[in-house]
Formats: sequence, C-alpha cells, structure tokens
Amino acid sequence: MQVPRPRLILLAVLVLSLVPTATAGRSPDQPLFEIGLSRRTAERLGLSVGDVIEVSADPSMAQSRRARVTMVWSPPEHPADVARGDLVIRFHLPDLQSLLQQPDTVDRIVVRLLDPTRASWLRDDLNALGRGYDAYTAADLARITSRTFRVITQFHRAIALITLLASGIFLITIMALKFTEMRKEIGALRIVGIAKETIAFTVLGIAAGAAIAGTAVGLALGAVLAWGINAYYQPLFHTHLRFAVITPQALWIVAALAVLLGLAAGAAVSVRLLRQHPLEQVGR
Amino acid sequence: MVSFLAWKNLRRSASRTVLLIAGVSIAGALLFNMSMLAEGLETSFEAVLGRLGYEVRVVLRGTLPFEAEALMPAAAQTAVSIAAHPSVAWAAPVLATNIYVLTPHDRATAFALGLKPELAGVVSITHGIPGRGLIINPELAHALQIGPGDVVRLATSVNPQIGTAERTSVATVDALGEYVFDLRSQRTLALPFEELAALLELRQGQASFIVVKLKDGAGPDAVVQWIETTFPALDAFSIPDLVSRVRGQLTYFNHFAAILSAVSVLVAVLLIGAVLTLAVGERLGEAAALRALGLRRRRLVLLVFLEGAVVAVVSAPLALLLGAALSQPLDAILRSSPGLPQDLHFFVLTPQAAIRTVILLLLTATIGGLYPAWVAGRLNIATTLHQEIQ
Amino acid sequence: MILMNEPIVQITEATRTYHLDGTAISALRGVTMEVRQEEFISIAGPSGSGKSTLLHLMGGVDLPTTGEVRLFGNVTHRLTDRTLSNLRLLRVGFIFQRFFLLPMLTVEENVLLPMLEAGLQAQRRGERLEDLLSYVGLAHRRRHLPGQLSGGEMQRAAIARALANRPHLLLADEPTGEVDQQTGQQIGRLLQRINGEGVAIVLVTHNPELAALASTRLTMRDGLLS
Ligand SMILES: Nc1ncnc2c1ncn2[C@@H]1O[C@H](COP(=O)(O)OP(=O)(O)OP(=O)(O)O)[C@@H](O)[C@H]1O
Ligand SMILES: [Mg+2]
Repeated sequence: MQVPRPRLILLAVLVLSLVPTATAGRSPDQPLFEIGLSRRTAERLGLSVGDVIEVSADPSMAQSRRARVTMVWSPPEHPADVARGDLVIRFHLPDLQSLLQQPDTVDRIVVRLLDPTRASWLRDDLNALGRGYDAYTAADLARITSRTFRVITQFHRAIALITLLASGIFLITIMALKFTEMRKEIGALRIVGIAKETIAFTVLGIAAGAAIAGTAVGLALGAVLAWGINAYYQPLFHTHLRFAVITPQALWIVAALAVLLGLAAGAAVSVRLLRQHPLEQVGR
Repeated sequence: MVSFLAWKNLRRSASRTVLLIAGVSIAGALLFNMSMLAEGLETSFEAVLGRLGYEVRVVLRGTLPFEAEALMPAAAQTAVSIAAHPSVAWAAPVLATNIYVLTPHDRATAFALGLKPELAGVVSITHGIPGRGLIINPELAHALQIGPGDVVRLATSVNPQIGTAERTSVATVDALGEYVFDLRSQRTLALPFEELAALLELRQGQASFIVVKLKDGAGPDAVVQWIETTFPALDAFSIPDLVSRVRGQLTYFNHFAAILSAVSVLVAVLLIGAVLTLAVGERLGEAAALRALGLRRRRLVLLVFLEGAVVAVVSAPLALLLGAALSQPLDAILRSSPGLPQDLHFFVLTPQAAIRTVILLLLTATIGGLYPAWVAGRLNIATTLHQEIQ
Repeated sequence: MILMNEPIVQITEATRTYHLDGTAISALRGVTMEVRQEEFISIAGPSGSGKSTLLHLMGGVDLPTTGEVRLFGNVTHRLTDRTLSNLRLLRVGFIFQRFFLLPMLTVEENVLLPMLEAGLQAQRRGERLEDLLSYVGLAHRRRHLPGQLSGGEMQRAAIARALANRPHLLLADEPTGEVDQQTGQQIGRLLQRINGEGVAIVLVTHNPELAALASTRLTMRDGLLS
C-alpha cells in the first residue's frame, strides 16, 4: 500500500489529458473501459453518455486506453471542494489500476460493519496493528473534513458579533433620537397630568412596535440577500449547495435581539425623559 | 465660525454624539477589517511565495501547480535545458512525496522534499549544519523526539499485511529548520535530491516539478512563454500566475469582504444621516436665525457636512485601532483552518487598507450628510421663523 | 455708500402671498413705505395683519411676491444669496420674540458669532464684545449659557448679538413678547438709547408704551399700512 496522500487521489491529470477519439485508439483489440463522468466533467468536456474517449495516466498519452462514457452523474458535493471545481471520472477499480499500472494498489479501503456501533473499536484495533495505514470511522472523517467549515462558522460568528454590536448601537441611537424628538409632547402630556407609568408604557410600546416592524423589514431584507447570494454563487460554482441559509435559529436570535435592543433603548430613553422636569421638556 | 459651531453642536448633545461615534467607529472597524481581508490573503500569499527564492514553477501540463502527484519524466535534463535560457540563473528539479520516518520505537509520515543545493533557501536552519542528511522541521522533531545527530530509517511504503517497512534506507538528521511554505502542523523533511531519488528508485531524473530562478532584472513572462513552447508537455507558472490561480479560490473572501463593507458603509451612512437629519430638524429655528443674522446658505450647508465630517474624523482613528485589534483574533480564527501554509495571513494590515478605510469613512459622512444638508440648504428663513414662533 | 437722507429701506407696492395647500394667503397687499437713517418706527396691529412679514421683507430675509424692496439701495430680489447674507450680516440686526440664542453657546460666544462670521480681527472683536456686554449690562453673565438666564437677560443678549457688527438698521419683532412689563420697559429704554446713537429701528409691538417711544408710529391691518 502506498503512503497515504494528504488528499484523495485526484484524477486531474487523467481528465485533462482526455482526448475525444473516433479515429485514434492505440489498442483496438483491448476491451473498452466503462467510465462515469461527473456532471461538471461532462459539461466541461462536452461529453455525453455513449461517447468514446481516450484516457491515460500520462500527459503524453502513453499507454492510453479507450473508454466509453456509460454514465453521467452528480456526485454528492462537499462544500470543501466547491471552489476547486474538480473534475471527476469514475472507473471500475481494476480498469484504473491497470491504467495506472499499479495492480492491487488502492488509496483506501472502506469497511462496512455488521454492527456499526463497533466502528471506533475496530478503528482502534486496526491502528494498534501499526501496519502503515490509518483507520478512521465515518464520524472521524466527517469531523476532519468539516474542520474548515467549523473555522468558517466560527469566523462568521465573530463577524456577526461585531455587526450586531454596530447595529445594536445604531438601533439604540435611532430610538434615543426618536424619543428625544418627542420630548416636548411628553412634557406636555405630563403637565396635563398623565401618569409617569402611562408615559413609560407608551414609550416602551412604541419602541417595541418600531423594533418589531424594523426586525420584520430586516428579516425580509436578509431573505432577499440570502436568495441573491445563492442565485449568484450556485451557478458560479456549478453546484446546488446553498451558500446562505436562514435557519430558524438565526431567525429567532435576530428577532429576539432586535426587539430586546429596541426595548432596552426605549427603557433607557423613558428613564431619561421621566427624570427631566416636564417644564424643561416643553421649553420655556 | 462654522467649524466652531459644528464642534459646539456635537458637544451639545454629547451622549448622542458618543453613540454616533461609537456606531461609526465599529462600522469603520468592520470596514477596515474587510479592507484587510479583501487583499490580505493575496498579499500574504504573494509574500510567502516571494520568499521561496524562485520566480517560476514548472509542472506537468494539466496538473495543478500545488499538487505534484504525477512525476515529470526526465526532469533533470529538462532543468538543464531551461537553465540554458539567457534569462535563467538556475533551474532545479524538486521531488516531493510522502514518506515514512522510522525510529526504533516509533513511526511517522512526513512530507519529504528532495532539494538541489540551489534551493537551500526554502528552509531556514535553526539548529545544526546541513549536509547530506535530513533537515527536519520542528513538528517532525517533536513527533519522533529526534534532533540533529540522530539516525532514522526512511521508507516509501509499509506492508499492510505484516506491518514492516519496505524499501528503507538509513539517514542522519543533520539540522532543524523552518520551511517557508510549510502547512501548519505538517511534518516536513528535506534531503538532497539524489538521496530521495535513490530511495524512490527513480533512475531517469524524474521530479515532481522544476523551479526556476531568473537573473536579476529578467521578467518571468518571456521565460514562462518560452518554457511552454519549448516543452509542450509542461506548464510554467510565474509567482503572479500562481497568485492569480489562487485568487479564483479566494472569491469567497473577496465577496464576503465586499458584502460586509457595503453593509458597514450603509450602517454608517444611515447612522450619520439619521442623526444629522434629526439634529437639523431640531435646530431649524436656530438655523433660520443664523441665516437671518447673515450666515450664507452655503455656510449653513457646510456646517451640516462639517458635523458629519467631524464624526468621521474622530471615528477614523478609533475605527483603525479597533479594526487592527479585532483583526488579530479574526485572523487567528481563519488561520486555524487545516492545510494552510504557516505564514499565510488572512488579515494583512497595509497602509492602503487604512487609507481606503479613512477615505470611505469620509465619503460615508458626506453621503450621510447629503439629505440633512439639503434640508438645511432649502430652508426658508421667514417660513421657519414664522413656524418656530407658533 | 449711503448718502445722507437717502432711505435705508424703500418698499414699493410690495405684496407677499403664501400658498398653503392650494389656498393663497395674502399677508401683505401692497405696502409702500421708507425707513430713513436714525428713524425709529413702531408697527402695531392685530395678530396676523402681516407685521412680521413686512419686517422680514425689510431685513432681506424674505422676498416680496410682487413690488420691490430696496435695502441700502439694492433691490433685494435681484441679489445673490451671498450679497443678501452679507447685507444682513453687516448692516442689519435682528431681534426675535423667541430670542433664538444658540443654547450651546455662552452669552459671549453668541455675541461673538456675527463678528466671527464677518471675519473681524481678534483684538477688535474683544474690544467690541466688552463694549456690547457692558452696554446691555450682561458683562457679569458672559460665561453663562442662555438656559441659565432670565427672559430679559436673554433678550438683552440677543440685542447685543444684533448689534455685533454695528448695523445701520435694527429690526425687532415683538422683543418684549415674552418678558414682563418691567423688563419690557428696560428693553424699551435700551432700544431708545441705541436709536440715539444713530441706528434706525423698526419695532413691531403690541405694547402701546413701547410704541410710544418711536418717532413714527404705523399700524397694519389686513396686510396694509395705515
Ligand atoms: N410662512 C408662512 N406660510 C404661510 N402663511 C404665513 C407664513 N407666514 C405668515 N403667514 C400668514 O400670513 C399672515 C401674516 O402673518 P404675520 O406673521 O406677518 O402676522 P403678524 O402680524 O406678525 O402676526 P402676529 O402679531 O401674530 O405675530 C398670517 O395669516 C399668517 O398665518
Ligand atoms: Mg408676528
């Protein structure tokens, strides 16, 4: 077994030395390989099922073999590979081994267990043998391949925090401004004899109303933005993966934060307003 | 007088101004961060590549510049031919592969580089003296508890049936060094090209890729062109080519930076616009009185813009400081993603980024001031006085 | 240059119509009058008769709908904002019913404002400030904010500000509207003194005592002088 490579074997070499062939064919006596192309590969090379091409592990097309496209499929996409735009060809294992002239050589072996709950036990056992390979459970692999995305998620969280801070200040400022604008009216209400509590509740009510209305508009904007991001990136990377998703969790966080901030601003302002003497508020 | 008034007006509603400046500073900090992010990776990547000590990298046609899986046949002879080009100082084949390193008690895989003497520059020696043996990086030294003077065995494969190493050879660790382009937590070793070739049983001068150092003053483009026409089976990449290849994969960060920059500018514009609009609205009577006293319309408009500008000017240094401080943890978060070169940074503090941020902030203040300034400029003195007295 | 005896303000057949939601309000319906140097005119009349509007036309703060207003020989509606503003800054002083002092500036800063805008030298500014503050009797309150003053003091501060650039014409729109009778009398005496030093004054007031100080007494009714 070869030393494990940091990445799965990439067949970029192969793919880019594919030559659609009708006339060529160095070894017409050998049987045709049957290969599958990922949709992206088929599109990039302009191939479809039934086409016969020549494949080789060598850029000079030495030892090439003819292969018929028998399938075009959409492999499950991993976010990590989206930006790379790899082209993928599927061979029957013996075909690929003979093409690479590496008989009985593989990059990895996948094992299906009768009892999947014993996966980590088997992994530890295999690793303890120390035979020059590493064993991973499917869960391990998922964790390793999603590491980049955990980093990105963390990064997004950090940025979101900063954005929230900025927009929180924005919200509070606007609220405070709105209510200082209402200062005179509030002063007049108090002189007329309306109770402080009533005014405080009114202010809070207005603040909550404004915050909820603003949140609704903000969420709608967010949805439009998310839609725009997906509409832009999906064709860009030839993928159906979604780049921006509004999760219920995000929705709740945003809504709760916006309303709470609005209320906090309203509370801060009403405390300030009610502390002032009403005569000062109406202005002499 | 107008600047005096602008200053006084801002001080008059101090808590509002503080909030405004805080908001604009944070938005500005985000803007600065995004400005750093937009170019940081590219700048940093370029810097890392620049330190490699060569200008052109030659790989098999069709392979990606950073994934040397396939071996280039007759690379040694090709390197000699390339070196004959008048612009080329030297050309050296490089072997890169994964390998097992064995000590009597332990075993680890490592990324092995077979280097010609010309490429000594890609590793900076920290301990020991390089010779015909291995130069290992600290990660490998740590993993196997080895250092200069220790003897290890190298193997290209391990038999999975019985677990013994195959095709082994003995090597001495000569030195410890840091590799310019090491991936974080990657174990790396270098040994003379010929030694690694022998270990891999490569007898026809194959290599993973060839690197080319140009003579001083020579541009890479002509050489790249020449290599690609002379050796049709090869692709040549100059450092700028490599950077632009990577750029394609960085679109995410560029777009992310663009979107967030737009959002921060918008937040700052709205903030400044809203505060100034309300402030102008509150002070219409004063504004009309000032006009009646002889303040020209233009000066009143200037006053409004100036208040926005003062906010931007006060916020700018705060934004830069805050942004610089925030970029550290943000950079650390992104740098913790696996498989990145050690010296690669996402946020790079450049004077351009700072200047761009300040300019954008001033622009933001101006745009935010447009509407309130229009309100102030359009103000009819008599009508306003009439209304204010009611 | 203003020639002796040439009127400072000359209003000919001036009308001013406001349009409010489609209905036209004629605030002035053809007013002709003059203000001569050193003259002291009072204008009385019922509320809404157009007194403030007339004052605004005189000060170049508003323009007539038809007719003509000449301010120091210049037809106001033919002037650029720059020239008109300069005229107001240097030749005209305004006193408002609501004072319109800038609340974030101290008394002395308020008074300095027009001098700063006119680009007066620091030394002359200082001297003039001293003169003005002691003239209106506010030297001891110079560092105070308007909010800390009484109504009469605020009005005196506003008068000092109106006199800052030594205007030839002082326009006062109900300057005693918001102060008590005694303070009103004080302000009247102050205006009389100012007039005695050669400044023409047009004073809009409902107060007959104050109106009695004027050399010419006019009354407005329904947008017309009588
Ligand atoms: N900017 C304006 N827009 C619309 N109508 C106005 C405006 N200014 C004045 N008016 C109207 O013009 C008429 C004259 O107003 P003006 O202020 O000149 O009266 P006044 O004699 O000063 O009254 P008062 O004694 O109450 O101050 C009034 O009917 C008033 O409502
Ligand atoms: Mg009036």
